[in-house]
Amino acid sequence: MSELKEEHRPKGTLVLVYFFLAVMVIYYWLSWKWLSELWLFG
Amino acid sequence: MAAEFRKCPTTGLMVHLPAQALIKINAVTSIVFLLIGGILALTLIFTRWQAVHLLPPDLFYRFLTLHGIAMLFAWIVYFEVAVLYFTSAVLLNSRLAAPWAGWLGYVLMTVGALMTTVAILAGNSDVMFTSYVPLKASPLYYLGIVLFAVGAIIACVLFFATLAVAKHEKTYEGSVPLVTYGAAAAAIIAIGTLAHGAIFYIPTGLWAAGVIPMMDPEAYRLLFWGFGHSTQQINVAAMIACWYALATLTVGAQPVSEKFSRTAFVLYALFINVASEHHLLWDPGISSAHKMWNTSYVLHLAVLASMMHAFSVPACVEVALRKKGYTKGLFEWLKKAPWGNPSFSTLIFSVAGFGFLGGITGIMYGTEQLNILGHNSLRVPGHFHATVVIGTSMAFMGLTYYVLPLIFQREVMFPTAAKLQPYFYGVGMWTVSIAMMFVGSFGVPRRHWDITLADAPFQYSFGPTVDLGMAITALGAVLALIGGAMFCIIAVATVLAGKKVNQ
Amino acid sequence: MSLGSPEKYWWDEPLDKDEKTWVTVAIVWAIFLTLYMPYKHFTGKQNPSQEYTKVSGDKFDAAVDKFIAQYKVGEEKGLAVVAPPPNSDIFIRGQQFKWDPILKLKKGVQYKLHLSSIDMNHGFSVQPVNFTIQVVPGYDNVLNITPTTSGVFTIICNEYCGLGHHTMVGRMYVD
Repeated sequence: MSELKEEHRPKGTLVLVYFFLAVMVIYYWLSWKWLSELWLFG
Repeated sequence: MAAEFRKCPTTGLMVHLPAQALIKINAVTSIVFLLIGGILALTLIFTRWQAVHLLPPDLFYRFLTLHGIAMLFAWIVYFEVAVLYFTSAVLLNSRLAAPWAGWLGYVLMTVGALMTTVAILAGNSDVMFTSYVPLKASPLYYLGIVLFAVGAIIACVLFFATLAVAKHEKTYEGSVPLVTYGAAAAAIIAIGTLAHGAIFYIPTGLWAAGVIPMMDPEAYRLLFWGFGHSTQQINVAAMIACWYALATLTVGAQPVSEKFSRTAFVLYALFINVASEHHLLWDPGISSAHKMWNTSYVLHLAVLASMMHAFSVPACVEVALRKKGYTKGLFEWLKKAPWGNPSFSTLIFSVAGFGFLGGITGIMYGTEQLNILGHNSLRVPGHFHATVVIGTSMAFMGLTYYVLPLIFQREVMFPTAAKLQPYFYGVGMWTVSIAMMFVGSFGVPRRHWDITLADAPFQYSFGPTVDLGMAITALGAVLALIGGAMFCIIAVATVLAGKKVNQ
Repeated sequence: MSLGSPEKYWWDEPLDKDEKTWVTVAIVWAIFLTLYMPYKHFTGKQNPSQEYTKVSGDKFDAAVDKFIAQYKVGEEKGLAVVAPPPNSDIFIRGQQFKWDPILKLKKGVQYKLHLSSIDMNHGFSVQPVNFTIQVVPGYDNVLNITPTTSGVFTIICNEYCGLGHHTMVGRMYVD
């Protein structure tokens, strides 16, 4: 597929995937926080 | 030879009639099992919602076992077989290499599925989908799954044989289409996984029949998940192939770059099958080093592949819609998208649900240490109802709306109902999935008949929030059931009584 | 289009610049995810068992009975209540459909917990702290465990183990 014109670039999708990544990072961080509040195991 | 083909008036493709017959029978059978599994789901959720508590415990555990088998094996794999024949013979203008093998596979799968179903309903195989030893099912239960797996392997081999025939007979030029490429990744994963399943169920079945001693319970768990989790990876690859197909069918999208999307499929074929220890992270008997290697899909390379598709699928839709003139701002394309086309709305529900609900939670629960927070809680079914139901099943439903006119050559009946169907099903399943994960985060166990612990020696209450969460899960399930029933009725009515296309 | 052959051999198609950016970000995230698990093995305080042995049901049964006889302080609902000393080896036996004995532990004290089953797989799910450890017959899942909260805890079985699965509920006390 040839080079995209500027107005056809998937700008919305880029916003969506970065939002997706942000949600994942936040949830990942929260999960580790919840884990650290548990009893200790090892 | 030519008499065996018809020319598709819409696409211009030459459709091999024996392939078309096989696609039809597999698709119809899959929808029958979807209907069975859906009805079972309703009884299950109204048992877990303790305000109703519909089923007695033995029936609850029995129906739960059958729900897993009917949905995860029968509905999904039959449909995948149809997808394999469609993406090989039909998309490549080719003949199916050996239709007799397709029928042999179909018969084996059907005999197997019925055998396992009968074994469960007979009441001596209440072992859940996982059938962890020393829980023992009837030998027929295991034999049925082995036959089913062998039948599905035959379908995969037939897919590759058809690719070879098409290449040899030069029915297409250049590379195979992207969707066929994705289906090939699914078939590669499937052959390894299903063969693995067929092999380890044999000693388990022989043990159940009293012939050989029981295998080590932890070894069983490892072997089971090498099959049980990896079969879901077939679904992932097949689902994403369907996403690309739906993007093209609904808005005429073409991949932003073939190289990008196909590389992601290669990563799947190489790495996604490694993971099976997501279910064994707080088990004894396996070292942390091995768990981390395994559960990370080899350094998260399969996660990388999923993230690549997470960009390229919506991107190709966006580019296609922008080229139609919807170029204002960031999201005009999304606003002006064909939301009334059931396949398009389904595609969006499927992509977003798989990513946000299934994918993100999958990363969390699949992280070695974090798994202790969610292991065997309702978070797990919440996660896989997002991946397998919202993701895979909805993608297949979306494709069905095109299979009906293109392969069954019938106009989809009840078009208004068809427009609404994805919204019922999508909103319903999103609700089910989110509510299950929410309730699971309070420690509510999965596969549990009575979380009020009424018959237990010690009392514990999960509290009113959990009761509310279970009620919301049931509400979501009812919506999804309405959507699922609409889908089955539309599909079956169209197959039986739809107006013939172009004839 | 996705349903037809590409115009040229697919590997020869160049990547789009947005694709390049995104895949770079994704690779960085994948590397981070991969490294964070082992990193937490060194710095985290919640890690799975690094010690497990195979143990037959009979042997584990005998070990639990010996443990109960040694530290038994009472009985509740027909189950022994056991108060082991700090830093000792403690045992919980899973079987259809009960967890025994009932442990009385001290907050902030480390114990060496041995978990196994003498019949089916069970799920050792402790509420309301909310964590789950898998219990597998034939294996002693050994964990150095330190309760950090006190109170009355309920052990729910969350691995299906037979028709009485939902009645398999145990107790644990921490003070």
